[in-house]
Amino acid sequence: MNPGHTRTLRGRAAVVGIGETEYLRHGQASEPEFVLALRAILTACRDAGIDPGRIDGFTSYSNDRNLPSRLASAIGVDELRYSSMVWGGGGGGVGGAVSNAAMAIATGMADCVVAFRALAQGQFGRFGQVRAGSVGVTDEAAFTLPYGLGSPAQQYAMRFQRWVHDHQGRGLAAQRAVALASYHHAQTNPRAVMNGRPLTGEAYDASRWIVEPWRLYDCCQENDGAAAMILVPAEAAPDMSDAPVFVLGAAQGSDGRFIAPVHNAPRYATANFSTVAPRMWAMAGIGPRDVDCVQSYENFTGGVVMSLVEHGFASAEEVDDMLAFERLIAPGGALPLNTSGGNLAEAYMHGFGLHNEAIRQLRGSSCNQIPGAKVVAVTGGPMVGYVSDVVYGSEDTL
Amino acid sequence: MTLLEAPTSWQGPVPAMDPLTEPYWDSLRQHRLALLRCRQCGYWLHYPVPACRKCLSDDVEYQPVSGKGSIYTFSVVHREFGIHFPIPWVAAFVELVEQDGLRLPTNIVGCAPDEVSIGMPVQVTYRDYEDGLTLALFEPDVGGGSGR
Ligand SMILES: [Zn+2]
Repeated sequence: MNPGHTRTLRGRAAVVGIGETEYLRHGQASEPEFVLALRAILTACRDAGIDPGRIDGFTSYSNDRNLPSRLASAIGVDELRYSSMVWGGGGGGVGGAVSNAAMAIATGMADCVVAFRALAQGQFGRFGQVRAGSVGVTDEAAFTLPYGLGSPAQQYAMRFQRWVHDHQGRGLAAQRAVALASYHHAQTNPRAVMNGRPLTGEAYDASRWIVEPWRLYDCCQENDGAAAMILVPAEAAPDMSDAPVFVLGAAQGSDGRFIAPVHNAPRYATANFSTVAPRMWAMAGIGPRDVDCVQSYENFTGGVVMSLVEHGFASAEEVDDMLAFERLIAPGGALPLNTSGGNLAEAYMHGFGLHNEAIRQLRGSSCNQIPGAKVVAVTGGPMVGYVSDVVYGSEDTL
Repeated sequence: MTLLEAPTSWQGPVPAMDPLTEPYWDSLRQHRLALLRCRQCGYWLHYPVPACRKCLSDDVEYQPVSGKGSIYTFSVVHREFGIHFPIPWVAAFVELVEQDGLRLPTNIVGCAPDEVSIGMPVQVTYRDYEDGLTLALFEPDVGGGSGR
C-alpha cells in the first residue's frame, strides 16, 4: 500500500448530518447548556436519518463542558468508542474537532462521530471575560492583566494594528467590508440573531469604538446555543445522504512561538495560519482559486482580513480591493464570505455555525446559495495560539 | 486635550509573587526596571523563565535595562476591561532598545490618545499604588533618539 495514500484525510470521511438549536443572545437560553448540546446532536441525527444510538464518538474544543460519557448515556449510545478535545479557548479548535472526528473514522477508531459545540453563557458566564478585581494573578497574566490585557479584544487589536502598520495602512477598508458582508448575509438567514437588523456602511462608520481599530460591528456577538455535525466513513455516506460532503483537507496547529510570552513572537502580526493553511491546501490537493466560498472565523474582523491573506485568497498589497464588499457577497461575488452571517451576525457558536454553513452550501441548501458550489474552505480561530482549518468538497471533487 | 493618565488608586488585578518574578516587582518599587538576562549568552528574557531559551543555561539573573524603547503596537481602548483606567486608555507593547523583540506589555501615559503611534520613542515611568504595587508605564521620550 502506498503510505502517501494512507497518510491523508482526503476523501476518507463524510458529513451526513448537521443540526443546531435556535441561536439566542447570550444569557437568553432557557435550558441548560447540556440540554442545548443534546438538542443540536439529536437534530443532526434526524438530519442524517440515523438512530442516535449509532453514534460512537464525540469531538469538541474550547474546553466544552459537556462530557462525552454523559452525552452518550443521555442519547442512548450503544458503545462509546472515541472522544477528543482540542485544547485552547475560542474557536481555534473548531476545525480540529471536525478533523479529529474524521481521523477517528479514517483509522477505524469509530464509525459515527459527532463534532459539536454548546454555549450557554448566561449559565456559565461570558467567554473571555476579564475577572475584575481578581487578586494574585500568576504566570504570564501577572504581566498582562495589570495593564488591562485580560480580554482577547485588546490583545488581538494590537496584532492587527501592527499588521496594518506593516502594510502601509491597508486592511481597514477590508475589515469594514467583512462586517457589512456578514450582516448582509444574515438578512436572508432566519437562524441569524441579526436577521432583520441590517447594517449600513453609515451605521458601521458611526458605531462606537471598542478597541481601536475595532468598532462595535467589528466584534463578534456573544450567544447561547449549540451546533453539531455527524461524520461517517466516506464509503458509508452515499447510502445515508443524497448529498454527502467530504473532508478534502484539514490542518491544525500553530507557528511554534506564536503566543510566546509576553507577545514576543517573531510572527506577531499574523492570524497564525502561515504554517497551517499550506498544510490544508497540500492535503486537499487544491488551492484558494478552487474554492467557491469561504467561511472564515470572525472573533474580530481584522482577524478575517489576516486569515484570508494567509490562506492565499488575497494579497496584502491588494487586500482592500480584493476584499471589497461586492466581491464578498453571495451569490455573485468573486469570493463570497461567511454566507450565513457568521460569528458576527448569525451567531457566535465559536465558529461551528461556519462549518454547518459550509455543508449547506455543498448540499445546495444555503440561505445565500452559490449555484453549483463544490468546494468550501472553513478557517477557525484567527490570532489565537492554536488554529485549525477544514476544506470540504462535494462528491464530484473526490 | 486631556492627557492619558493612570488611575490614582488601584482597583485592578494585582500580580502574585513567586521566587522567579518577585525581584522584578521589587525593583519596580524602587523605580528601576530590571529584567531577567542570561549570564552565559547575554539574551534578555521576559517574562521571566527559569532557563535561557537561546542557550538553555539556567544561569540567569535580573539586570537593569535603560527603560527606553519604542511602541511596537498599541490600541486605544474605549472600555474598562477590568482595570479602571480613565477611558479611553492605551494598551501597548513597548520594544526596548536592548534587544529585538524584547517587548513589554504596558500602558501609555503623558500624551493625548491621538498622539500615540507605532514607532514612537518612549521611556519608562512608574506609578505607585497601595500594598506595595508599582507598575511600569511608558510616556513619550522627549529626548527622543530611542525610536527603532
Ligand atoms: Zn543564554
